[in-house]
Amino acid sequence: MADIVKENLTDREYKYGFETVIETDCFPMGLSEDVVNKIADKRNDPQFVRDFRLKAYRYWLTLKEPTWADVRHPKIDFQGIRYYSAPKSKPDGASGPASLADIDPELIETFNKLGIPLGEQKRLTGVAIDVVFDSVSVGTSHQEELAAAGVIFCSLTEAIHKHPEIVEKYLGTVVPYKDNYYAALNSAVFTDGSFVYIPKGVRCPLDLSTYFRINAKETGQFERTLIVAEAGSYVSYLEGCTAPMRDENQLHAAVVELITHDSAEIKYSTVQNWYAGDKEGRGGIYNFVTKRGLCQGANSKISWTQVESGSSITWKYPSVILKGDNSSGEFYSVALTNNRMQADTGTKMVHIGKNTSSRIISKGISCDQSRNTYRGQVKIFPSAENARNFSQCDSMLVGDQCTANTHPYIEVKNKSAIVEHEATTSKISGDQIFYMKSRGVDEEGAVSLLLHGFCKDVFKTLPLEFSIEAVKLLEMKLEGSVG
Amino acid sequence: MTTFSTIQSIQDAWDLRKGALRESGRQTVERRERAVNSALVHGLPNTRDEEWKYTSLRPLIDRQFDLIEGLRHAMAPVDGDVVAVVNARLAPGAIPIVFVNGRLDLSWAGSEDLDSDFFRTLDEAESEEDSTFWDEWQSVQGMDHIFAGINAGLAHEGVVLRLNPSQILRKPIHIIHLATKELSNAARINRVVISVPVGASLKVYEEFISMDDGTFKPKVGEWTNSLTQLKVGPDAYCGYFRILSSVDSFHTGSVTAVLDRGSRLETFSLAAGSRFARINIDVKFTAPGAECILDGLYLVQGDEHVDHHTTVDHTVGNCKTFQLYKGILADKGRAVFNGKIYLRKDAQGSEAYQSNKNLMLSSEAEVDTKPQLEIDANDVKATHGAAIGSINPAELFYLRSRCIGEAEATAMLCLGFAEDCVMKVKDVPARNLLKLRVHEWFADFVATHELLKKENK
Repeated sequence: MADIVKENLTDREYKYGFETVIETDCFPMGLSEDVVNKIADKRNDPQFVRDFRLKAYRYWLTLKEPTWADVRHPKIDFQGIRYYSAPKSKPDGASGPASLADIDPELIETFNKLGIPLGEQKRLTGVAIDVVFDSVSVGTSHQEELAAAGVIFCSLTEAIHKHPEIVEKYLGTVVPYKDNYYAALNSAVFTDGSFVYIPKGVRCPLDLSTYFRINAKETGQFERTLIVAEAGSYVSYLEGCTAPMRDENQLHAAVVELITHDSAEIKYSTVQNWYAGDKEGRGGIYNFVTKRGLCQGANSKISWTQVESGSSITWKYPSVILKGDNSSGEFYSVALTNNRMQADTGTKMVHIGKNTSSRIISKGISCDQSRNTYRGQVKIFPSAENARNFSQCDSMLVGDQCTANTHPYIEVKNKSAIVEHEATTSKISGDQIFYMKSRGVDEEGAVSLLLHGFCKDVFKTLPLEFSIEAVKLLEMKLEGSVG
Repeated sequence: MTTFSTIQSIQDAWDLRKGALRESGRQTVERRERAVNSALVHGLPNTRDEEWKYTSLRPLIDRQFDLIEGLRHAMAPVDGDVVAVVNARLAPGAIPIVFVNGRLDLSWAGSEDLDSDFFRTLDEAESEEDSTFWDEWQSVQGMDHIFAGINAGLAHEGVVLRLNPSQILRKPIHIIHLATKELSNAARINRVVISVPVGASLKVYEEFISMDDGTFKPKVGEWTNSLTQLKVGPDAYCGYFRILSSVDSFHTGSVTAVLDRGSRLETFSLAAGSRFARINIDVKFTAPGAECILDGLYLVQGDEHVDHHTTVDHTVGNCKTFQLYKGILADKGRAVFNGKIYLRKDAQGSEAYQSNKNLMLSSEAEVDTKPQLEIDANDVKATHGAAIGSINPAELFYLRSRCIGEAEATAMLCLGFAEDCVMKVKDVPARNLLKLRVHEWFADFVATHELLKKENK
């Protein structure tokens, strides 16, 4: 039985592993203050962004690489990475393309292969998309419709030039450059990313989506996403990512900052499918990401949903700081690891305001020789009267070579808090399979059903488009040829 | 400098201690030296270390305890008060082993039942140069922990209980560590080694008490560093019940246990009074079919700090762990719980259940809990849970509507919460002893908290 399950889970090839031959504009390898300045020149950064980069870079130099995560990898050579790579779409290559017509047709083809409806003719899908290729945003769709609602959705570069006051106000407020090693690195060399601003009282008419693609060799991707939701607004934001198959490891160190004001809500969903390396663990993306949301205003809400099925190493903790009274945070996660993938992921819920609540549902599935760790922190400050947290972390082990760990940190400093944590570990048992087979479901179907059932709580929180993608993604990984 | 402050001071203490050990033989010195070195190799821990994230050694260092001072003085004769305190504590029918300020007192009434057949002092056992016996203890998991290492190296005195195969000791052994206010700056370092071989059965109560009941001003607070090592042989049973009730004291305790095929270990750690306590319990299964019950209760009030770190290592299959730790936190008390359970690759068929529940009575209290499961085997049943909450207002209202004062009602609800875990202890005399200590703590708790209320009026 175990063999069949294992086959299901491992024998599917990575579908997005192609590489697009596109002329790119690259920096030589290495990182120095000079490179940081050159990135700032290239992107024509205003002074405040340049200062931010330099401060971050100088601070980064003082830091040591953190080692506390339960992941094993050879030391990363930060001088062996190109910190800037952009598709050449215009002769000067300095800023993003002016319109979709300017985009290299080769690039459009890439996104068609990925199934990303970039062209305006795909309007009917009802999702506005920003696409980040290597380090640069290459096109954002549905601009007019969003503009009519007053929503700003563009690349961060564009936002820095067109709306510097908003960017300056919020950049680095949730994830300061001093936050951690990779956040500092990102703050120094970030090249692009998405920017979303939802004005007061607006419910964003479309789901917003960003698609990240690493294409060039030897590059790192350091994008930065900033989403600001003014009082009473709502936005649902989706993020997807893929990368070509390569023998070497590539670093992806992104920063995502979310801010919600009074009664605003941000729903942030990720389907992460970076290339995960081959069966022997060669290649794949190191996905070291800092994601954090700040519930600044009262009654605000931030919800993270993630389906982590790629990356050779995933190391990220989408967190929520519940500062406003009555604010709430949610974290739903499915992390699937196979072959030699390693995932150390979870969340942090920091309760500061009164009557704040948080909910954590984490499902880890580990197969083959992979390591899957849930690491989460729930912190209740003395000021957080009547805070409430519920956490549930379930692990499923497939095969006897894999590892599933659970490390919840619970720190409570207020007696009115109610905090609960529970975790279970299970495997797909012969009994369950037998039961379903006796009802006419074949083995493959039974395994698939059980896994879907295991992840249901998370999938149902995903927006429809992503829910379908996520289910497909898991199926792709799970439903191989059953003998 | 032999005051506990730096790695160097521990090294210095060891260099001095070494001299006194020459009589016990070369092997003893070498063995103890290895223990000190292996514990000191990582340096003195600080809050940046994952294992010490929530507990700073600062209060202990600030008190400037001397590591060998306790050995410099001849043992003072015990006075009548001390005898009365200890006798009042002794469990009925138990064989007493009493340490007064770290020195073993074998003149206690009842101690004559300690048969040389199974009992020796640490000095005697070490001079016997039974190197295989000692080497087994050396490599045990948990011995690289700083306080276990300090103990293994510097232990002033100790006892070795080594039962014969199939020997069933009907009477429980009650080990009492008493700290009086004499020599208050001297660390008391004692080691207890217990070997229960094949088919044997032994019950041990180990209790830490102090004469300094808080009425002496200024409060000084003694430091006891204990190391208790248990080895449970095939099909043997060991009951180990630990009580810490020494108000205002500093306590660092290490317990290591190794379980052989089909053995059973039942442990309970009650912490009901200590200014600063760090208790490490490490259990390792070395053969299939063994079972371990690892329960505990911490009652924290005032500005006490109690930290439990437990580790259970399932290296083999078909073993079971049941763990329930509960805690009550009042005033500015702080409790830390970290429970690690490892289910290694070969631990197929194992079961591990862990639960930690905390009741917070004050918003100035703090609890930091981290239950932790690390699973490398797929055919296992493992769960863990943690919950933190306060008294249910509906329950409180129910009792108050029956004319029960708030403090007493709270105490009743707390007592119910706490007794739930004490009642799980299967051994009746042990359960009664633990219950008694819990009740004593509550009587005091109700009294002081009622009093506070009246003062406020």
